[in-house]
Amino acid sequence: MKIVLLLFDLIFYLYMLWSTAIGFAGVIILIGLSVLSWAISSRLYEKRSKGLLFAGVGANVAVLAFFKYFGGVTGFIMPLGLSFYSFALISLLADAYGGKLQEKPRLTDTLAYAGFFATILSGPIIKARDFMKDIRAFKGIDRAGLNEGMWRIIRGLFEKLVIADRLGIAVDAVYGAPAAYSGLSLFMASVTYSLQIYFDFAGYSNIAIGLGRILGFTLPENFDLPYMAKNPSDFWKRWHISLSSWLTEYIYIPLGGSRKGRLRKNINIMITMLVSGLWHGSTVNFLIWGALHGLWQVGHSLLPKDCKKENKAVNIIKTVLTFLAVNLLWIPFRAPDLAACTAIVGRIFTMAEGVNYVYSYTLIFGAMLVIYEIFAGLRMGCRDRVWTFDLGSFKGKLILLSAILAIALFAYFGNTAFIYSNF
Amino acid sequence: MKQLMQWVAAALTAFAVFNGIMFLIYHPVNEITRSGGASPGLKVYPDYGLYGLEGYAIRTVDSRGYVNPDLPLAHEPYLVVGASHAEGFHTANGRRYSDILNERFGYTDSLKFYNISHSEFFLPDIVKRLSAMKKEFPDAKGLIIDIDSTAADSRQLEDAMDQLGFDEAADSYEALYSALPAGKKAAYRIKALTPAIREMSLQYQTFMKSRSGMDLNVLRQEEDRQESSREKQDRLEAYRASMGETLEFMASTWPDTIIVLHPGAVIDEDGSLSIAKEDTDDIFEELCLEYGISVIDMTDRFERAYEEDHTVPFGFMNTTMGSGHMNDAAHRMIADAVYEMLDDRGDGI
Repeated sequence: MKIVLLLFDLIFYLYMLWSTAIGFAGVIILIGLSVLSWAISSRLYEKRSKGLLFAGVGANVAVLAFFKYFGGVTGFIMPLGLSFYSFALISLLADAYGGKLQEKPRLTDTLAYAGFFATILSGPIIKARDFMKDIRAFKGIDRAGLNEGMWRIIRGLFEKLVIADRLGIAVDAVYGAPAAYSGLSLFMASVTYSLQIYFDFAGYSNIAIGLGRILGFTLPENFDLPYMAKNPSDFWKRWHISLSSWLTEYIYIPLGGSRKGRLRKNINIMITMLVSGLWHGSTVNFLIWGALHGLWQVGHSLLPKDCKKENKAVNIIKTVLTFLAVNLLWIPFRAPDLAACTAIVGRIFTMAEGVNYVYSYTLIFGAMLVIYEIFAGLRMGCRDRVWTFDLGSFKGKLILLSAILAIALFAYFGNTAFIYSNF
Repeated sequence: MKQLMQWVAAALTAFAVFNGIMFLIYHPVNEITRSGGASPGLKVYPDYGLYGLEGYAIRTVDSRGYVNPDLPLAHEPYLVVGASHAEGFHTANGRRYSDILNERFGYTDSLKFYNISHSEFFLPDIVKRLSAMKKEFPDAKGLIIDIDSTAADSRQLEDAMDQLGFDEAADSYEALYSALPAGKKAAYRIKALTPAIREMSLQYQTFMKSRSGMDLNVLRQEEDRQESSREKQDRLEAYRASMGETLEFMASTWPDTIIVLHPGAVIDEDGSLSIAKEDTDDIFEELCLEYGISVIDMTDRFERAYEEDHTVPFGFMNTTMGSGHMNDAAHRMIADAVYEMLDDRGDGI
């Protein structure tokens, strides 16, 4: 069965690359990096060697950096998913070096791990020790996981096709001509983008996790109502959790984490967030985005304890302020360049005149999210949950068919790609 | 068996709920096509049209099969004829320029400006039915023709001179509807009651279109680029000849004709508003002047409105600004322009 999965992974990846400029060469890069990482991690499993670890990590980082930062200059197009599978392979090397793998990695398992079709394009980034456990036990479709996986996929499709893609058309229009729009319109477009990127990426993650669950893999959660966060560190525990967890385990902690004093801790936070920014893209905007998130976290950690008191009213204010800050920081992330970014921020803060445009669906989907978050705050301890229903019951059948009908009727069918496959 | 019954019951319940919701979002009108008459088709009465994914309005079909309030025609009405922009399914209720004009001139119990617009009813198709309009509405005083471009294919214009007629016994709403077989009538009723199915069909078509990836604008640009200056000159000469013949015929059939030209307007990257221009614009306006046809070119008004208060004539809050159909602001501006022109004439509307 593992061979079937591996073949499917490779065929799927080849299919995804077929229409891109890099084509079949992308598959060769995937196989090449996987074989190299497997060979080194096999040695590391038997004997710890910092030199080998650095060589393996260096090879992955070098290939990633080449395509990400020099691809445009040299004319090489970055293969889809390289950001995700190179981080997965670094996890394999680090876990082998750290003795966290239960068994010596096999070549087929490593290829299936790096090229796993559900996660290769946009994650979640799986840690090697978790995936290797699951792949050893892999027997094909997991009946127990079928129900849960199906509900996950339905939710993901709804988030992606109905919500994110429809929000995307307004974001593209406003960010495509920011000089035309009023400060209020630009602020609302930034809110629209905050919603779009969340529903897009959370939707994709749910589809990936659902597919994994159907096949018996327990993929890591990637989102936990991030816009309910009360501060920046809370946000990063809820947003792109698999990347945050990866960066914490393989960057922040090896740098010393919080063990070497406050100054080193803050420096380590800044380095980790800058790496996060660089991972997302090669432009200055991403670097600024990472740096600002780092500064925000450092600033928050320096606040006196009196400012960190909590009660219901304070928590609501904190949540709103955190959202506004996250929302503001998404502007450099989405703006095409630094000039556009500064123009947008400037127009928002000066409440510049221009075309007034408040996209209806921002209000509708924003209100839906707020209602869900209030419900989560009252009933679910401010945590998200996976809703599953028994298909043996009438209620389960009704909800399933209603969800399918809702997607069929309200999905936005345009030429849109998953946002995170670009990173 | 119980499980099967549950699936069937669940499917029917889910469909009933979402079909009910669709009555408030998307409810296209049914249409009976016809060869003769003032328009290519008449809507089934009584019904309403709602296209809530672009703008929002609930528009009723009148007993003659056109999209208007079901009121009697005033003495010597003006016919407002154009494509979907003028048909105005996307503008709010009462905000369509034909509706605004009726209100401005004080026609609340009858219709002085009668909208016979129809989706994809472009200039050559309109010209082909000029005689039929005269026959279907013999009492009409004049025409307000709504176009978004002066460009037209010369051959289509020449073909349009072969006029269609109007036969009360075959082309009126009563005749068309009574001639329908019972099955077709039932099908119309079912379609009117199941907007969810029609939305799914539309979604499927949109999905297939997006998969095909064909970009007509790109093809058009390719064509434009390939035209040599000689070919362009020949095309413009042919246009002048055929449009001249068309407008001469229009002026003789409908002496009181007003053409409203509202070219497309998009928001550019630098924040300016670009109004579409055609290389036929000057020839068109020159010919209209020659044949005594009034032209209201909205270009200046659109540009001025954007400069003064950033008003964009196309697009809605549930789509994007600068794309799609004319919005309420554009209809209001056109109504202002037509009102001023008719009011200046002082011929007692």
